[in-house]
Amino acid sequence: MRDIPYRIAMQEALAEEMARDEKVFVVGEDVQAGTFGVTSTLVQRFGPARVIDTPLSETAVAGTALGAAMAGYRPVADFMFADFIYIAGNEVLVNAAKWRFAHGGKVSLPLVFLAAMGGGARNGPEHSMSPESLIMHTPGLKLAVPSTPYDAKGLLKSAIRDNNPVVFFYHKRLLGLRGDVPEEEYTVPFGVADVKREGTDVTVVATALQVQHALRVADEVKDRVSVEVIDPRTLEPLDIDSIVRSVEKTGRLVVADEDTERCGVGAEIITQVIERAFDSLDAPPKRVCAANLPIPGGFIEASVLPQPASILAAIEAVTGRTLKA
Amino acid sequence: MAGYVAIPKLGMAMIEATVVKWQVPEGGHVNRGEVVVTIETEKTNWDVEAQDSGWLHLLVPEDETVPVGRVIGLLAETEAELATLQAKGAPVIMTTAPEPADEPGPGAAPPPAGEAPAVPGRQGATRASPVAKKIAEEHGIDLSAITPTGPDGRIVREDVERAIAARQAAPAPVAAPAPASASASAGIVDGKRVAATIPIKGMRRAIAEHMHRSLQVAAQLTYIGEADMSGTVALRRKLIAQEASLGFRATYTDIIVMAAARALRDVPILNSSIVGEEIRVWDDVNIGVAVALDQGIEGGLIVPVVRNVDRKPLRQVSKELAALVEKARAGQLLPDDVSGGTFTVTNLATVGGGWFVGTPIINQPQSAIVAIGPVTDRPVAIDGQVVIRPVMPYSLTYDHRVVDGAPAARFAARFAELLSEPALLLV
Repeated sequence: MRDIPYRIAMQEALAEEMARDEKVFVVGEDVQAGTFGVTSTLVQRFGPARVIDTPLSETAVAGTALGAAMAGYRPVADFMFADFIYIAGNEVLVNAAKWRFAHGGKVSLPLVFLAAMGGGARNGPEHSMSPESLIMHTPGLKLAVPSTPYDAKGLLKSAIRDNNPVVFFYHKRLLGLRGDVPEEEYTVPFGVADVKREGTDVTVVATALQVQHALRVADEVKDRVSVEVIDPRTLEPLDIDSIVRSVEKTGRLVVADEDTERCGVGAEIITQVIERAFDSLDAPPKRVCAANLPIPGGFIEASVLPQPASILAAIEAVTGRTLKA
Repeated sequence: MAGYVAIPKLGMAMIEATVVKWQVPEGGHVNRGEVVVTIETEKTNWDVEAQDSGWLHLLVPEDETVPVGRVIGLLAETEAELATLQAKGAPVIMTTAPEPADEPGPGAAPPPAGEAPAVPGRQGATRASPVAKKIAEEHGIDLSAITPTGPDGRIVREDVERAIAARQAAPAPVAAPAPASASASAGIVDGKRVAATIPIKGMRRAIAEHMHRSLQVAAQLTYIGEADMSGTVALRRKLIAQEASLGFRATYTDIIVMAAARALRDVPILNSSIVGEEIRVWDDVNIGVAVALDQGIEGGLIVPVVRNVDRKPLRQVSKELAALVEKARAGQLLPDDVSGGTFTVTNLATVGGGWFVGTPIINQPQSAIVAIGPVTDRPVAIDGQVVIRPVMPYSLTYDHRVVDGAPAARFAARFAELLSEPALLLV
């Protein structure tokens, strides 16, 4: 086992899949240099024909990928910022999501839309969003949101091999996170949640950066409350069974996610849990999300984005215990 | 804060109550389960027990009438907290929204933020988490007897598990705990097999309290007689034949209610109530008509009121009564529909068979009630001849504190006369 950063784990996944299947290629703005270091070094190994820099048009990036996928390639299109998916909305949310259905199943669309999500980098309202609920709300798209280097590599390999469109959000503030990644080949399947930490008093379902926040909080309060941290890893498909099983054990649920609270990931997961395990709940579930506001630029973004303290407060609310030291 | 004392909703029609007597003085200590205050509703006096132990701070003085759900006292956990509550005066706090039929008054203000006690979200509902409710139900634990420790004053799983453990540690109770509602409960109590266990609460409790109290407070005796119904039977037959053009279908009950109202005008002392140290003889003749409800094994009973029957034609009385009965069976009676009665008619003819009489219990605070038996053909001696006549037995219970034998007999005779000759209703 090696200890490598999330960014390098993603780079390895791309390189391994490009080596494994010559139909795999990367397309996007500045992917040869790699703005976030995810696609860096690939052009040296696979050449500019398979690592294609494009003009500044997200619609063109998405459209290129979509057409190539219909022609039998397995493109990985990088939007750089998840916020830019809105520009390519018609290609991603309408065409990519629906064309397999619209064509009666006669075409496959094995393509991946890569994008960096999340705030915390003081990038302002147009470069800090985590539009997970937008993707979850769109039938026809899968969504991966890895929280560790291991999951980032395994999920990206699965995404590339998937015959349907996958949106893959990597979190800006996780890119340097180091973690164990095996030397040998592996993939992480979609729709299988991972229990990142076992506990008995409260279930915290968290995605992406919030998983790391939740694990830190769980460790801080471990003498006073036993927190179970579950990472769904993919939000579509969603492994609700694992979440329900955990809530049946703990009776208390917190969902921590960086998308805006209203109509968000927390709302969806909590609703599904209430529908399936109402009688197991010992307290009203709580959401920990971005406030219903644009994410401000500069340091005040912390007042809108969910923080470890927000997760701690939610755990206190659902357990009725005071945990602050 | 330990808890609060609020006006409970004791009956379907109850919208307010008067604080009659605080049984614990301001600043006094009360233990959970002890009577803390006596309240008076239209139908009954009621001793309210403390749901929690604590030092009492009164929010509402005696003799004040307040809506159901109003918090009338706060229970402090400590004497220091009591002093804080006393310093705050007497805020208006409600546990529920006012009744829909009620005009929102100054008493309906929401609890002031920050100082509201933990109160039930819904009237009568104990706040407990879903899993706490489920475990309590599985183990027959009464949630209202549990002190909540969860967030927002909610009973949580740990609280119920503690109660289960406490019960297991305590000696076994004589009888099994009552389930939340009427249900077949297996088991044997005192050597007898139990078919069902019905909790005395809600309407059952209201009837039980009300009937028992009526027998305790009034000097009741029953006058039994028979009415020759040939005139009423003939009248009803004619009215039924004309049903389409008249636009209503007359029942015996309609005509009997009319006759009772006219007889009350002639003998008004039966249309009265004792209020304090006085007898109030009512000018309004509002007749309550008992309606049996089909509510499973325990049944049920409610008494909607037709107002000013003596001043209305039969058609109007019939239509109003039919509408009230329909609302009663649908559970849609409003407080006004069941209040303000001055006399009651209860007709058991459709339920009981053959000839029978009974001893009905007065619907307090009225002074009399008449129960009606079935109309049956019976041999009657008239002018030295035995003839067959439709005869109806009736049973008039009256309160001898108010009504003496002679006026009761006069009322009965007039009532029977009006039924025998219903043309007199036109006079």
